[in-house]
Amino acid sequence: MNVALGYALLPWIIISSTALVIMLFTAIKRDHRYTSLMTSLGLFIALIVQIMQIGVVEQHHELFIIDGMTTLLSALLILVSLLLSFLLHPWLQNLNDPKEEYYMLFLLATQGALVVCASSHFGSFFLGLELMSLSLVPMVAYKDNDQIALEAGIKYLILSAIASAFMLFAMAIIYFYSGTLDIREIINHFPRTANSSNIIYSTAISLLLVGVAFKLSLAPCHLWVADLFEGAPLPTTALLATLSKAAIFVVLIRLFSEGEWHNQTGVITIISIIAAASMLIGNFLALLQKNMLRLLAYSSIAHFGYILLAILAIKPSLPLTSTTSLASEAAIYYLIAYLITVVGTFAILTLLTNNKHSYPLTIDCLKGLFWVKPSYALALVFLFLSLAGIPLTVGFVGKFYLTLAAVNGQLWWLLAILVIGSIAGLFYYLRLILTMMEKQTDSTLLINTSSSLTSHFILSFVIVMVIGLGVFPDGLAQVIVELVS
Amino acid sequence: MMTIMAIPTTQILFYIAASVALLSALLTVTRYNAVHALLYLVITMLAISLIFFLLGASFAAALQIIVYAGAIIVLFIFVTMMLHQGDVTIKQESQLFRPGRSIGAGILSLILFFETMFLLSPLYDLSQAGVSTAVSQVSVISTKTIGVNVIGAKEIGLTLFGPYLLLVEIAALLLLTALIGAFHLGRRHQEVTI
Repeated sequence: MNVALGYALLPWIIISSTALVIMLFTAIKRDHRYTSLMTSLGLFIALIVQIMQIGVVEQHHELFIIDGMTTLLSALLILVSLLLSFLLHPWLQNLNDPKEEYYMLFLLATQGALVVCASSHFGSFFLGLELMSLSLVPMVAYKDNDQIALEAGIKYLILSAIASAFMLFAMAIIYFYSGTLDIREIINHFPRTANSSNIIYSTAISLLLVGVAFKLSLAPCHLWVADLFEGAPLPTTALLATLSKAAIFVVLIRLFSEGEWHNQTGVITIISIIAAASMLIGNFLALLQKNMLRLLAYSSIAHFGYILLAILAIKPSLPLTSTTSLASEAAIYYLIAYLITVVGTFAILTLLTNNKHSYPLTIDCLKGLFWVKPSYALALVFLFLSLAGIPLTVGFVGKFYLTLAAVNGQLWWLLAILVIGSIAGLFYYLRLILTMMEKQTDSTLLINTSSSLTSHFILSFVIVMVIGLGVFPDGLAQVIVELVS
Repeated sequence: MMTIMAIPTTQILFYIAASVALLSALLTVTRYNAVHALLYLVITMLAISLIFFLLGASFAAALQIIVYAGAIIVLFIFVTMMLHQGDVTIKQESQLFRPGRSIGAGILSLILFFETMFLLSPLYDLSQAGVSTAVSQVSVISTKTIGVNVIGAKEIGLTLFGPYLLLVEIAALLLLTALIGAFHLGRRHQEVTI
């Protein structure tokens, strides 16, 4: 391994060594506070190194591709982890279980997400994916004596094993016909004529899509996600909703553009149906949902349905652009908007509940929040508006970008579904906001909340990001354009 | 001419092993008793390892036997047997472990056994005599496979610690994760019983 590659992988090295150091320290003496501090510190250093590398480091290893896009998204993933790591200490403090293991699993899950994000080879993709899901399973079932969490853990374990089996089968088929596992090389080994769809390649891609759709909880494979969101501890849910999905989505973009999936008509049809079904099912299931977490689960299905539109628009020679980059830019922008918004939502929900609830977190728990904790309520209002895609928030810019890419790709009927879905989405997000504004409060949840420095920091950070990127989307868009093209 | 004759022999062996693998996997799923299912699973693993051997991946075949058929399945069987406790289950088990019950598994593993014996015997070399007499010992082994390349331990080692070095390290992290997770989840049982 040469020095340049070592530098490119430095964030990974820092994160995994943090996990190892924590493990060794825990073996000698358990200390929750130092462990928490070490986790945040490790992630912080990794974040700084990763930010320094954005757009500078360029490595094309056999297994990994580290370029502008990878470094930007890796930095974002580490940022998400860092934000969530601040929330772990107060949450774990109230838990009777041993606490240090959670930090190790947390760091290893982050590591897995980074590996997936940078993978350009099926070997690294699969191992990273397994690293991520295998560390998420114990994190889902972390709480002691919690039937629902245990059930969610088993569900995730078995279903992700099935999804992995599908993916492995797809990789085997691809390897069988192309003789390579390198994502960048595969397409060169299939017969290549204009607009040719290859039945074997399409079959392999469809099998691969089963696995990817499961991990992204897209429509036909979405049944697990609501139970998991409800059962798992909040920080784990946050990690699942952001880190794991984002990393896999990056690979999906890479697979689509490098593998030239747009030539496979069958695949395009399948992805279109998945996108349409996700948008409709996600939004309509969330419409009358009483449980807060289930609602977020369904809304995340819908959001990934939206992003698939940008994926579908990845094809060369379109009216507005000559290159493929607009669609990738839109996908990445929307992904970033989604990440920021969802991580903010989960952070605030975690701050509000702090593990003191043993009852399901229903929408009624938020009733009257605005009059008790105005700062929290205000942040949540911005976040929900961003999820709904109201102007002046980052979610709007993301959706705008997405619509532009979809119009450019001439995906008319999918755009119609996007509009229908967004209207349905607006209904339940606004319902949440109205609930928070109601006068009377009957929730015990809100009294427990204590204000700390961390919570103030997270609240202000989230608001600044959501509004800042919503009002001035230019900077981020410029960065993405430079890095993608 | 003789090499063309040699291919069907290995292919026939492959199809026998593959059908044994499929049949035993099917029986694994349909058994009502866990131990019976596991016995069929062992046979599936053995058949798969024979397929690996026929494909020229002798190292993978050995690993398949050592890791899957050996360690993991033995653990499975231990755990499943330990779960059976009390007079009722013992009575049940005396019913279940009659020799007649294992006849299916016996037949399937006998097929695999004879196949392996055939592969190792001079009879097999005779079936492709033209190849084996002319060439050295190494290529005699290679004629026993469907593929041309025999992938030994050395090639695997060179690949794993050459281009795939990072994958080995990620796999190490993966195992560590599994260990931590198993440690945490396994601990719970202890706490509940206390």
